Amino acid sequence: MNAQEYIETGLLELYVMGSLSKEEMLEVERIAQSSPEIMQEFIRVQNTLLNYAAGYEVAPRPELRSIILDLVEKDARNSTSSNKENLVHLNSQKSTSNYYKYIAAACIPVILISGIGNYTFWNKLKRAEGEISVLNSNKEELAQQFNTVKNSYEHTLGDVAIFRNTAFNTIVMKGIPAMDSTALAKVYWNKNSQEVFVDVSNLPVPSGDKQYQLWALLDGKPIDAGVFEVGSSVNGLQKMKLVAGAQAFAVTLEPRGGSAAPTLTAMYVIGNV
Amino acid sequence: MTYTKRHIISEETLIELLKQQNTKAFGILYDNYSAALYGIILRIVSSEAIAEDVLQEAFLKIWKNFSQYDSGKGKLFTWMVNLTRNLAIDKVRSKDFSNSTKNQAIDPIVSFVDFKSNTSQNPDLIGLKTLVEALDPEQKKLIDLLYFGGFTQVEVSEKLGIPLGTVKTRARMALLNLRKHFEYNTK
Repeated sequence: MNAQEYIETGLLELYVMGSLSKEEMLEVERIAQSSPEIMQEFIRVQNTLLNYAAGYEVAPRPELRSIILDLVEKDARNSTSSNKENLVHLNSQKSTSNYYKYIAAACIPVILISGIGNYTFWNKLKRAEGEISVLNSNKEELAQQFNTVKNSYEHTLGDVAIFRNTAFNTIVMKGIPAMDSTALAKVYWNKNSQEVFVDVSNLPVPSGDKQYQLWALLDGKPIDAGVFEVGSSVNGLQKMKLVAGAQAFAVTLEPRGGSAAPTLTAMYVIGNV
Repeated sequence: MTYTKRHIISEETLIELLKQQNTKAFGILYDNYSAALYGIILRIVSSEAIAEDVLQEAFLKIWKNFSQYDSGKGKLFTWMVNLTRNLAIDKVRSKDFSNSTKNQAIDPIVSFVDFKSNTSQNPDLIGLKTLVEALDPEQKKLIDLLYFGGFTQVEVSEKLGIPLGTVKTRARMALLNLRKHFEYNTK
């Protein structure tokens, strides 16, 4: 359909007279805008109806003018015009964002519960971690104690084995009256294996720079049998150097680390094999 | 005789000012178009009290909805007439209206308004009466039914017992006659 044919359908006239449906009106608008020729005709038809309507003009009562303009002024003031557009706009946005608001609102208890849950679980976790570290240190302590007990037990077992072993000679070394008559120590010596153990019953605890040294006396000559500790840390028998032959054993107090020759003036105990 | 003063202002300027929600421009709009719109409303509702209500509603709606008017799609007056006529027709078809005015037939309404409008005929358009009378009575009836009666083309085709296509061509012929007359008169 060309422009002239479209014009002759009378649709433009019906549009201007308000006799078309909304869809038909939109269609007329669309077509009129697409063709200058149709648009020109469209405007002419509108002007015709404007003139026709002008023939039926009736002036409303003059009072109506101020009533209507007041309404409009009030509307303009109330809404501050452009603000109103914004407001309406905002409201319509609000209605869509309300949906999200409700979701957000619905999320709040979930977040709260989750937060409380997190806090509770975090606390529990911290408590559990604390308990674990306490338990760990307890465990280490117990393990240490166990090791200590085990060591001392094994040590004791070893000691008992030596006591029960008839291959060991027990040499009791008694205190030299000039030093300390109550001093007392024993040596367990296995002639076959040459193993020597010292068992301190009573020796004065020396200063830190001094250490007791065991000597084996063979044919009047002192043979170094090693140094040993005295005090609360010492438990049971202490293993000494191997001794091949001895008629007697003696203990002197020497500088820490021991001496090549015994300090005879510092002999505390002595005992014959 | 009530006679409102008219303002000479280009449609484009008026539209621009109204888009900016200028209330002074709205006063001009009222002065220039209220009589034409009121005349159309009166022809549809036939009661001054109701017509005044419709006129108020129409201008308030024009003000509030002015941002929706698109000058690319048609003249301002056509847009305002469509909006106003829809309000008037809604009123006529509402329950309140039919209860208060006992549903008069369209022809008595038109002749009633013809009589009324003649009493306040705009003297500037002195040739109009002869024009309207010069129109073929069938064409005049058709235009009045469509333009002032608020009937759709389908309703008019049923009312006048003529085919839908004839409604369209007759409407076009009627408007062509009118146009010829106006264009002859303005020359």
